[in-house]
Amino acid sequence: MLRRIYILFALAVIGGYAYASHRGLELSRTEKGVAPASARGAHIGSGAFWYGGYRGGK
Amino acid sequence: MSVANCPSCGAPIEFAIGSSAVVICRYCNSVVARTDRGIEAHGKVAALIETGSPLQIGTTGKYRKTGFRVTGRTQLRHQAGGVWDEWYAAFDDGRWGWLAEAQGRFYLTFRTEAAAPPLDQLRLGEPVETVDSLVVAEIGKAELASAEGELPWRPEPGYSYEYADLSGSERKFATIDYSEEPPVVFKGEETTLAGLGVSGESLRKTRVAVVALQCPNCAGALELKAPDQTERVWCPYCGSGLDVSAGKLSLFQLAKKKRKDVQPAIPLGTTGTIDGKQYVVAGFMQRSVHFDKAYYWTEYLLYNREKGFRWLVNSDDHWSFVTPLRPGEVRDSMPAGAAGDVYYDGRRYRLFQNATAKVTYVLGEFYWKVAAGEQVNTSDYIAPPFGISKEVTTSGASEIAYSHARYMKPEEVEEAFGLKNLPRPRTTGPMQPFPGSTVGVAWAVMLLLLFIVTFVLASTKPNRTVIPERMYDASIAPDAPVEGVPENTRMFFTDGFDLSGKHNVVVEVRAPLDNAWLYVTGDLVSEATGKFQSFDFPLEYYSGVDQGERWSEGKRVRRIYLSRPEKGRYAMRIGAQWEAGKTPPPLYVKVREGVFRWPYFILALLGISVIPFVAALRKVSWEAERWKDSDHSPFKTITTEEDEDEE
Repeated sequence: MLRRIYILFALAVIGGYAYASHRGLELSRTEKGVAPASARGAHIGSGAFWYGGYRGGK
Repeated sequence: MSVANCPSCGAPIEFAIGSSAVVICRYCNSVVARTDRGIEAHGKVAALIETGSPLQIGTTGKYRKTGFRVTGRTQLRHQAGGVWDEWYAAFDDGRWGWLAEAQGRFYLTFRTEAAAPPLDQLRLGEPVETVDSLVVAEIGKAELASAEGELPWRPEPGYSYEYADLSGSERKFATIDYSEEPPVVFKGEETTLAGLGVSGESLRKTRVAVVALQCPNCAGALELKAPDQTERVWCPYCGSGLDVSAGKLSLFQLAKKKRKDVQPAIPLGTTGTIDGKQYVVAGFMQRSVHFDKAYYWTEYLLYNREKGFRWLVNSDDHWSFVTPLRPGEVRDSMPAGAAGDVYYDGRRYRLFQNATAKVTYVLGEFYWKVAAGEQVNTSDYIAPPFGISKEVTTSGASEIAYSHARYMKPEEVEEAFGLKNLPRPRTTGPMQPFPGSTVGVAWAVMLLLLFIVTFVLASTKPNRTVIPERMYDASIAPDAPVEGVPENTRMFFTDGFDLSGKHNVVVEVRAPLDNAWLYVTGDLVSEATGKFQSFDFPLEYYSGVDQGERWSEGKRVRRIYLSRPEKGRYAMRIGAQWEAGKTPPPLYVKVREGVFRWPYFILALLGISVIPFVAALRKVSWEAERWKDSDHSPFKTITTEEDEDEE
């Protein structure tokens, strides 16, 4: 019985690992958002929106 | 054929075989020999003892395509008290075959020219090279008890000789007869009536299933379950010891105080079915070994007409079914002692215990003259759920006996013998199988699968550089400072780049810090949709010398892994903040996609290993419990003399 449960569990672990790795999924969660249209393309120079992204120093 | 008259009683006698030496007169038991001078009588032998043998004078058979006829037999008395038959078979090709019968087993041997070592050089359990390396199973002395029929040699009443029985694999068997000089080697094999090709018509039909007798001491009714094999009976009513001879009982030992504390859990006479064969409980005994104190267990002698004797052993409510083995079947490097391992049927058995076992109580019938106080050296080996037991007897005939045990749950014993409520064991038995599952093989298969999956994943990841390492100089102030933004902060945007939308993205940021810190923030920004993923992390590196020792801490490089973004064109925003008043170091940024992640492999490895690890821990704990009473435990801690002194 334990053997059967283990095999199912291990297959699930390996399957999950293979799926996540193949799909390029990461465990670490990153903050996501949408930049306003005004801030898009402002690659050079500066913009208050992007500076607002700072989270402080040491 | 030659016919004559017995010189002693005048009855007609017949020499049917040309090579026979004597005929035992069937009327007066005289040993009649034919010599150059004619027919001579050489004393008389005692009357035959009923052994219940199915063979008789005139029994015919065919062994390996050669016909034979049984012409005579001798009855030999064993040092332990029993009697066995040795039949003489005249073969059609002129050979004589010796057909020994003991405890329902048949051993057919032929005289050979093989050399034999002197008797005093034989060692129990050790191989005899000149006799096909068969091992010595027994060394003893046989005394002629009686004889009948036509024999190839002349037996002298009261004659005795020393012998050694040898045993090997595949039923090989040999006997060395030390009555002659040089000793004679008889080689052959253990066989069956079917193997001897004897027909049912030529067999004796005198075997009876049960014989009813009366105890001469208490007049209790005794039923012998194996009357033709039993040598001694211990009366279950009064406890007297009774010897069985020619179907009669004689008092060997008067009843002692009856032990009420030791009673068989399976009553004598109970029948039960094990491995499809029906056995009757013929005898019961308690035995003990002594270490720091006496440890007791009980044994039930089981009998089946076809299979012979078996044992059912009960130790601490753990049961095992025991079958005798031929010594040659067990590979034992130290037959007279206790080797660490023995091998049987391709399995390794580890030494669990060796001690001197003593019979402490006996009830019922036995095939040898057993009595309380009898001692043998025992070595017990285990390979759960099986075990091998070795018993070496050195008093009287020297004998080495091996037996194979199979663990039985109390439920199995209950079912076999129709019993209820046998006590359940409260400890771990030496042969008790681990009740849990082991997932070692499954784990190995899953491990292999994980490696294959990992190999495929790792080899298919592109590990593509999206932005080669680029330097950003934070010391250059922006053209137009943003209001409210501190001086010690900068922000950069990388050039645009394309992502496939199939893989993860890794951002690597490096700064040549020296006793400084930098706080990095970033966003992976989609140019088309404005969607972004943010991240941040500190970079810091400090080093120095403290009391002459160089030290360092922190990291100059960090990588951040982002989940697969949608396919499209992206830019990376990198922001940096440093200690106010200091010059910021340059920042190096590199972006790749499709990077294989080894930590996830480690996580998966741990994931599939947790259950096997827990199962293995349980197994180890169980094994430690199993071996706790053994002097040969692989779990035993080595105690040094110093440790003992400290105690």
